[in-house]
Amino acid sequence: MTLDELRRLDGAKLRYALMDLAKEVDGAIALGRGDPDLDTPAHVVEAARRALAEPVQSLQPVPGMPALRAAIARRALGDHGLEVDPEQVLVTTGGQEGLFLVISALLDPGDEILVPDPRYTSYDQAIEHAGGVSVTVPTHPEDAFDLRAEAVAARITPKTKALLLVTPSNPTGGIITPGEAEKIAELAKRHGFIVISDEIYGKFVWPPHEHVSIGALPGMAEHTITLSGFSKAWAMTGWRVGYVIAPQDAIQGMAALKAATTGPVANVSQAAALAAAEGDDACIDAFREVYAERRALMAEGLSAMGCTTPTRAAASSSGPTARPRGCARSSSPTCCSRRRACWCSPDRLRRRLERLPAHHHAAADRGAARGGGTHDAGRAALRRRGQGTFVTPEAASTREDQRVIRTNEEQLVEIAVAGAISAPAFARGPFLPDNDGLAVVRPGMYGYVYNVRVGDPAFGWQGDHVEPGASIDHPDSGVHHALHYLTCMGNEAVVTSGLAAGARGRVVGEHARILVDFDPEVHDRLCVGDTIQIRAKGRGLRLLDVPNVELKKMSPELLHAMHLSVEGGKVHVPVALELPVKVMASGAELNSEYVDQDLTSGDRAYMREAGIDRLRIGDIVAIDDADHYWGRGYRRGYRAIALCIHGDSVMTGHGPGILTLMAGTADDIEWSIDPQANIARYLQIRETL
Amino acid sequence: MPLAVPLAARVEALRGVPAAGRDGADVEVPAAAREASLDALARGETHYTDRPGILPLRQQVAALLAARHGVEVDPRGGVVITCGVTEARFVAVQQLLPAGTGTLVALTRGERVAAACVVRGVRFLGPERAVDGPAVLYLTGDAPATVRDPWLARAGEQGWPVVFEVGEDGFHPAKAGLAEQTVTIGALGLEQGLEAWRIGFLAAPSATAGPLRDFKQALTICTTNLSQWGALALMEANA
Repeated sequence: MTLDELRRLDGAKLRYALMDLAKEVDGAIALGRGDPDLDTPAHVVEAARRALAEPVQSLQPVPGMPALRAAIARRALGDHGLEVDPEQVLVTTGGQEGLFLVISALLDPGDEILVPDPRYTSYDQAIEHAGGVSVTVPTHPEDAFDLRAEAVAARITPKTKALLLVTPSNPTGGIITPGEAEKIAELAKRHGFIVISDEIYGKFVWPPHEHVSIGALPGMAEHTITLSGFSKAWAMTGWRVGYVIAPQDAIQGMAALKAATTGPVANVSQAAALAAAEGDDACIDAFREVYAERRALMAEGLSAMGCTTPTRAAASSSGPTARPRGCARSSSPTCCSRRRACWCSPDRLRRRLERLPAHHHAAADRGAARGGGTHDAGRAALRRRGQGTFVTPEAASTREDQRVIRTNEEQLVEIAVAGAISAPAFARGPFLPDNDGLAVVRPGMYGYVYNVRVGDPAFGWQGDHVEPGASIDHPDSGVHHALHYLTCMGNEAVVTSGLAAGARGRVVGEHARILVDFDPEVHDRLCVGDTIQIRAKGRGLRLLDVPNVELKKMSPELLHAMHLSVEGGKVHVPVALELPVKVMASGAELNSEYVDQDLTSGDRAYMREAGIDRLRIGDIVAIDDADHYWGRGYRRGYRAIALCIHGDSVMTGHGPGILTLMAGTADDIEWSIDPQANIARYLQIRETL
Repeated sequence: MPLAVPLAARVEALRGVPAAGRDGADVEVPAAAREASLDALARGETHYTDRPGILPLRQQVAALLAARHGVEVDPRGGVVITCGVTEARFVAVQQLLPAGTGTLVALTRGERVAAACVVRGVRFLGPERAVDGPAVLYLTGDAPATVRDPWLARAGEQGWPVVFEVGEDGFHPAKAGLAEQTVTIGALGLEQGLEAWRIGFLAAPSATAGPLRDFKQALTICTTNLSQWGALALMEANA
């Protein structure tokens, strides 16, 4: 085939042609399809061996072996919180047939289906066959190719019958975040379309990210058809076993279709899949470690070659199949998004790889050695390196050995600092210039704010830098600075004068003043000028098992309430939101021991698109590539955990503010999304948010 | 709870079409196939095979067609191993007939392709019905010559594609001069106990087979690896 002929091809035809060409290249490795080069786990192989040895075998029903359907239903609940009856499971000849059946069962000619771009080309073939109309929803490298609800919403029409959600995505590795999943679920319910959730790579999401099954969200069971299979997670591509989870009437319809397409799945494959479904995930954990090492190697290698790879992405087909001996460059999401087909020779890649640091070669060698593969080797490596599966706060609560956070708190000094409730003040007149150049007057800073508390939204107030509760200060500069530098988040405060004397509160923020939350019952007795004393404790607090992490203004009480865990030399932190470092603005000039830094919220569309507009005061947030050790600046590989301490601002370069709680690097700190990660819950100020 | 939106019309139409198959039946699987599959398992044959199937099996299919039916097909470009003959029928119907407007004339055993026609949205007729306009013929190896021959003659005149499901006898539309317009399909080891292994084939001139192969990949990528090795052993034993 000539280059001109290739250029005239598109979609699957181009992919097939390239794969055929690649076969003729000595040493080329196919990255076009997700075929793990690891062995099917031993217990699965043994189950197949027993099934094959049986001289008499029974034909299975078209929807699948009943025991397998039941096992898949149990896994759906255990893995993803999907409550399904076995009758809601259809066993398919690989995930590919599942996709075909779902599309055929849903789409009439002319029906529109929203599909992410870029995407796996086989979706298009199934849609075209059904007569459906693909409406592409772009995903972007700057979003790590995550699908955004706002982009989906903009393309919904009365003809929209379904949305294809692929998480993690093949080929980009983009995922659906919990926040976006909730928004998309709302869209599906409001507009009455079905979400086809392809989760075949669902086991390959690494912390701090998490896999989300949208069908498990409230009210989504009747709006979701979930696709998955055994090919990727258990390295079972050649067995051809996938499955569909849907309401029972849809499963019955798809089973009728399946009787026409291929009939039941091969017996031996179903027996093997049953063993996989009923077994534990130790083999998958071992695979994940191998893939993680390869992924890191590929990302660095591609970066050296000038291709960008989103570092927060989960695995795509290119991750699991990538081997360190040579590769097709077409796996780069950037290349895919530009619809280029290109590859490099094994020699060229080898030369590139040779430039990488030595430890990556070692990692590659280990990965290649395991590629031949026993799982025991992988498990041993996991134990040796102290890296295991992602531990959610819920899971961690059952693993007390990992919840023990060793600190030096017995060495800390507890000291009283004091201030008084301040009054609102306009230092430069009442007018503030907003992002459009208009002068506005807004309350928010200093004084006592009655109706905004930690746990409330950071956005949406007719205010500026709204500070929750009492903001206290001291007129003496030295005392002022001691109050700021010594007070830690979560410290106890007590009112020492006035009508509310004796009332107790908690420190929940530091802005230009120290911010203290009090129960609303004492609102009417608190007055401007009332003195408040704080039992300041936390300065010098350290994590003994993660010495590189610097704790900033973190009280022991807050530290222990945050559901932290330490594993493998890293501290794992639940956070409500990730803030992209590019939005961090005013306050960057300050040292990170003093007050806060604002994010710039002037691009309202981006705030919505990135989900930042759902930030709450008191939220714990993560910022990647941010160095907060001494100041607050951009530095690759560094990581900060912070606390949102005040509300949005109308001023250019300002917005909600964050106070540093932890400074470290990506080697020291892991994070995952927990929508309830807010100081209001941790300090038991609010039971729910 | 029901799905929030109605299913496609083709699904509703399928509800009236009886499903084939013999769920629950016990079959005795030949030792040659079982042992070959166990060997393949021990070798680690657990990954995707080539899209059209393992080459030795395709070569066996080509050899069988040549020996039994006198039909020459290229095992590399003209043979595709499928997930049972069910998939071979489905692929042929979906690819040879234009969606929504085609006509399939089933000379024999029409129940085997009726559902595939519903999915494609095409007209499905028996041999007693008159046909105006282009059509695709479907027939099985046991079609009576009195029914078969006039229709094959007409297919030859009109250039209609023919889907032929092989049987035990030696007849093939190629004998009527239709080799270039015939897609041959069949099961492998069906009568010898491999029904639950889901293994079949389709064969055609390479130019015709290419789109069929692509569609098969879009449907199931490839056929179960172990089943292919078992079928190969059985065919070699039979040969």
